[in-house]
Amino acid sequence: MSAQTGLYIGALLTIMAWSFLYKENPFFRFTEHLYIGLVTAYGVGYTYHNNLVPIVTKDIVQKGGYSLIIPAVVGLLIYARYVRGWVWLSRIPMAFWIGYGAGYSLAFTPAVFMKQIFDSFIRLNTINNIIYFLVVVTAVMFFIFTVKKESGPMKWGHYAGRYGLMIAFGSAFGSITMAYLSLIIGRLGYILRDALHLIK
Amino acid sequence: MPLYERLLKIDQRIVYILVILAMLIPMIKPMGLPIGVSENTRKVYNLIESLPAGSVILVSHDTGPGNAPELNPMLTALARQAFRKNLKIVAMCFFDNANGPQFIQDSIEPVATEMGKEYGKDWINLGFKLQAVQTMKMMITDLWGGAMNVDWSGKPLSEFPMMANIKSIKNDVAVIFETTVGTPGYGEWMTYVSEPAGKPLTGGASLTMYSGVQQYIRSGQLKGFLGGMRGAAEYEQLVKKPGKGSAGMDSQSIGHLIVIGLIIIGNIGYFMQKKAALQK
Repeated sequence: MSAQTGLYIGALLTIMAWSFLYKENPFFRFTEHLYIGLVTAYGVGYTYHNNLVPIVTKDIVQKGGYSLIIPAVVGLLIYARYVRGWVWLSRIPMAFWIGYGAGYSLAFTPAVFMKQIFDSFIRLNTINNIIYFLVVVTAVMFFIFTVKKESGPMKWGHYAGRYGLMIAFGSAFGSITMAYLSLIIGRLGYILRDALHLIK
Repeated sequence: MPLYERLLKIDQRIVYILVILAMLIPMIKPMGLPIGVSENTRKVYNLIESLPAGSVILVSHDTGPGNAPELNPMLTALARQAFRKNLKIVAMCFFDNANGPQFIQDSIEPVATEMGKEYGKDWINLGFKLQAVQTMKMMITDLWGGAMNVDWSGKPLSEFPMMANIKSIKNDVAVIFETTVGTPGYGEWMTYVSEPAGKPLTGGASLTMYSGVQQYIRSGQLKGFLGGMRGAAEYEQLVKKPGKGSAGMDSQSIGHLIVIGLIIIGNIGYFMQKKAALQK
């Protein structure tokens, strides 16, 4: 199959996927199933050849790293959940995974957050810095749930914090709209430029 | 049906057609709207520009087909700047095993060919890697081990001359360039690699993440940022080679006008409806 034929098929599949915008239909369903099937098959093949085979042939067989078989066997225990009576075995790799992940994350994450906390200690000498400071403080006040907020500074802090958050969400919404428009542009470019050569 | 009801009940298919037309027409007939370069994009460019020849940029291209139109042009522009400065690129991905390695290939290879750079000598595609955090951590001291000793096509790394001098992130990588749509992303790279190993982290992301990365930029943990297709277009302006990012900016601008117009129409309908309800 030539590259151009592949581009035509890609363009056709894009239009079939977009047909969902009109309503649910068999063309969309076909595209959806085709994509999921292809991605899964490719992913399995790719992972097998580029991750599993190198470990087995190089690290274990050629270099004699037989100790690697132990974590492999522990990892395979996850499938014990499909065997009645042996389900408890599947919790062993999960325990390793969660224990390692939580411990590792707790060890390294604070260092990253601390820089951002230090960054909020700023000189209040510009309008931007003052706004930044006020939004940080009031947004934190919004998330304090252990103190009543019916009156006093907590009420106004909570109120102002809510507006700060709403502006942040509005900004995020704008960014997301822009991102999704980019995706449509990308596909339109694929159809018109790459497949049909209608534009440069 | 009163006017406000008609404004509030516009068929969504009409909205889709309007948005697609708004983006389609500028593609067919470009208007050449100016593209200003933001401070964040300039920071990315300047960081790469400051590297001495021969330095290694580690690229992690973590996107799927959905966000590829935003992120692939960033990689192409990076390759253009890096190859002009005789820098080396080691690229890989953690997000999409089926498409990620091909995106890297499609984004860098044409630029490398055009600029006379050779695969394996000037750049390499390590492909998709499993278990992002563990692999990243391993690569700090053992880049080959994290890559399973093979490139994306399964060839041993020992066959590629450039890899003889690139053994670890800690000793051999100058900058980490992350293009991401979420996880793994800046949080992972920062927590497990760039902060512990003291390596500068830069890159770009889908605009969906724009608000979420601001604190990293402010704190200096992220050295500049390319925001979506707009960021890619700005970067293309700086490397003086407009590409797919720049090509989409007219469409993007007109698309925004349509979206803003629809939001205004919806709000007018909402307030008219409210007023009518009060009058009743």
